[in-house]
Amino acid sequence: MTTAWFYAVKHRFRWPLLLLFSCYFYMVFVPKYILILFALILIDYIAGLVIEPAQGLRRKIFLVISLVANIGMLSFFKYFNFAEMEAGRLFAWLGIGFQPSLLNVLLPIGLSFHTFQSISYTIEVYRGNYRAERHIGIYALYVLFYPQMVAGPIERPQNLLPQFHTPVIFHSMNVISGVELMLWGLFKKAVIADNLALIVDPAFQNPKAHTGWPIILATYAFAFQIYCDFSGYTDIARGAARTLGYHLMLNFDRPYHARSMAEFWRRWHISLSTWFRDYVYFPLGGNRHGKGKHYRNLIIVFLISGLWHGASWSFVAWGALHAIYMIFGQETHGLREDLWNAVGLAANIPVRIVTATVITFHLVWISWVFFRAGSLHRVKEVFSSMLTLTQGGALFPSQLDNFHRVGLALSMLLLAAAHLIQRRCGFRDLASRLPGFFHLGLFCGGIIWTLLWGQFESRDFIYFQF
Amino acid sequence: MSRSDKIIKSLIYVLGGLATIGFLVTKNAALLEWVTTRDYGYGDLYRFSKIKRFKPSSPLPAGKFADQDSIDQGKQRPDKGDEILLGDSFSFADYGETPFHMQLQKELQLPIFSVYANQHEAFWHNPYLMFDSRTSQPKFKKLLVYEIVERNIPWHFANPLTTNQFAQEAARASSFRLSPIIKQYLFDNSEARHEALLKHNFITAPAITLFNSAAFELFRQMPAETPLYSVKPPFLFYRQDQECFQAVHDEELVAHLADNIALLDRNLKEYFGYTLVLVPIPDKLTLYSQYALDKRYDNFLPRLCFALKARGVCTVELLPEFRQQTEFLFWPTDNHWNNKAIRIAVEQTLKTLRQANPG
Repeated sequence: MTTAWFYAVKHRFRWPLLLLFSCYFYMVFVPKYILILFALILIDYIAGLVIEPAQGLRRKIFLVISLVANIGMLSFFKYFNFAEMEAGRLFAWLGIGFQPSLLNVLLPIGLSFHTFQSISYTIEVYRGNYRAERHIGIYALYVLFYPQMVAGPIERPQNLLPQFHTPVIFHSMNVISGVELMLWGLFKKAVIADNLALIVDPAFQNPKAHTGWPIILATYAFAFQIYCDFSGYTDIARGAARTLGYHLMLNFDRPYHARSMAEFWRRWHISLSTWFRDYVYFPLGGNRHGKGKHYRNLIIVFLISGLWHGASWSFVAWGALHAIYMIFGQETHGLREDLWNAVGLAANIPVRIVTATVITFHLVWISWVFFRAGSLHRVKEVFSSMLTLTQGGALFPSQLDNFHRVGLALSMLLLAAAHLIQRRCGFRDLASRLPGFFHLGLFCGGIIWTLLWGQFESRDFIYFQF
Repeated sequence: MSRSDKIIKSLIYVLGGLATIGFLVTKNAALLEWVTTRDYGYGDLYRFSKIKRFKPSSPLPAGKFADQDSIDQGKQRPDKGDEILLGDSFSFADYGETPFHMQLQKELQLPIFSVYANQHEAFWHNPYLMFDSRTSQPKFKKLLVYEIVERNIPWHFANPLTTNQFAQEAARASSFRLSPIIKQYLFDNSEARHEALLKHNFITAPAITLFNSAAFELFRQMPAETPLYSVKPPFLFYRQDQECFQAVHDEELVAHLADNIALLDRNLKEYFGYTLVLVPIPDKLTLYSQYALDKRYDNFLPRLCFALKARGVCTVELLPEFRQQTEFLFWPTDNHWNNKAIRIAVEQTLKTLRQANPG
């Protein structure tokens, strides 16, 4: 509907149209929360205008005001209750009476994404990399653009804002490839992620009843569930934007093909990883001031990244674990190279590639337990259930019948094949080489496959909670 | 503009136009009813499954009183009535005879204020909201008959309802209100309405029926809403029945649920002067699991009723009586009970009330 209206009106009416639809989509969740976004938009819009001409300390002060407003809003909704609860525990431990006063509010959907996207705008203006946006409507659209509004990719002003100013010329290939990308995203979400959720959810809800292989299988399943869920959303978002002629940044680049943790973070949630790199890691000094400060910076970045994902110690532990991985990787880099060379395996030999990929995947796999468990207590339960030799509970839940198990296995093979093709030549290249009827056949086959094996109960995208 | 550009652009306009019409249709219940199929008449589970093999030869009998409660009939707040019935779709379903709450009213010869949970969810989630204010002990006994189907009990009573919650919810409800027209046309229940439009309109419903029927005949593949079935007799079962049946209901959970219900009973008595009469209705799968599953029933409902009685909650036990019947008590393609079951429930409720209040 939006695409049809978008192409039916002239360029000057497109931004208000997209803004209107974006506001509507946002308000379907909790209407009044749009006021929070309007407040943030106004603050950052004005901040951009005043930062640009200001010099020295004034420039810095305006930036700080904008950052405080954004981070303050995020902290209030996301971390207030967590801080109150932890303060309550601390005071109880110290023997001081303290009754935490918890807020009874829902986290506005996608707030973590909006605030980070807004922050990237003010910082880029502050750094002089991008001119402040004069048009408040276009700026509001930059924050609220509906395809990426709830779970990213977290865009940069340099990429998105100029696109809104440039008239879009209709091109059927944009629409076709956009729709195909959306279908691919839906396939990943409905067929793979939501079927895997049937294995994951019961096991993580009650790890003690799923000891041994069931919880191990559930943890493997979660590794692929979260990838397909989040990258599926991103594909749908990028596809929806592409049908309108806009191009959003790549957010996932076959992350489980990574051969090291550093490479994993260059392939997983790229828009967030690069955000932390550009706005936290580099300003802290990156790797330029000696090993000690480099490692300190890595720890800070990953702890913040953990907290960004959720107000819980298990997310902090998840971040800390990744920081440990990165530091360990740096520390042992030379040793590992020596070992590989000693056994005669050069960098590009398949055995070495596969081994490194498998090890990296399993390091990530362990970390997903912290991500999924929800609390440190549950993390402990999951690991102890994994180490229990006797099998408790069924390997596959009864809701996942044989038909869906076969469909899931075939779909995962299809995903693996797609990744291999993508590695060689890229999807779009391959698609453009195919004859039209074959293309159409694949598209229709994809729809039938998704309808046949997909799960279409209302199951939110995992990253919506952040 | 190339030829392919023109074709794709025209296609976008056609689909966009249809989507715009569809969007507007979802904003109006009468329009939505007009463009969707009437297969509800064949049972709600048939409507979900859309598998031809299960379609009954004729629609279920339809009555005049379905889904009507006292609030729909323009009556004021529930606490103006001395007897209240708060129930889900089992109380308000009408299959050509008088629904449960009306039969109960006739037998008791007392006016019952009926509240339909599906239309007044706030009251269902928190019955304290039905009362304007706390009252002192009344001179005579008032009753709140609370009917609830088995599968809803574990999540519905998972947390204790406190009277503080009453104040908080009332304050929250009054703190921010959109214009009712804006709310209805923009944000009201849009997801459910979009789903109704997409799955049940006159164009897509036959296509979905074809697809689902083929998937069933070729692969014995069932839609998610009706995962369990039996061919002889031709029964469909609701997904939530299956989830409840296969969930773990250990003693700790049963005790926890019973405690929360007993707390509701105590608060109703203390603050509002009403005695709770709980009428838990067995799930269809509880009665007929042998047709669709190998697993044995864990006796969740009998164990809960026992725990409730031990805590002094007036509870109507239907399962033993239902099990003695040789006739089917549920419609094969609907998730609700039939007239025979309603009659048994009315009689059992009266019997329980008489035992609790002789004379």
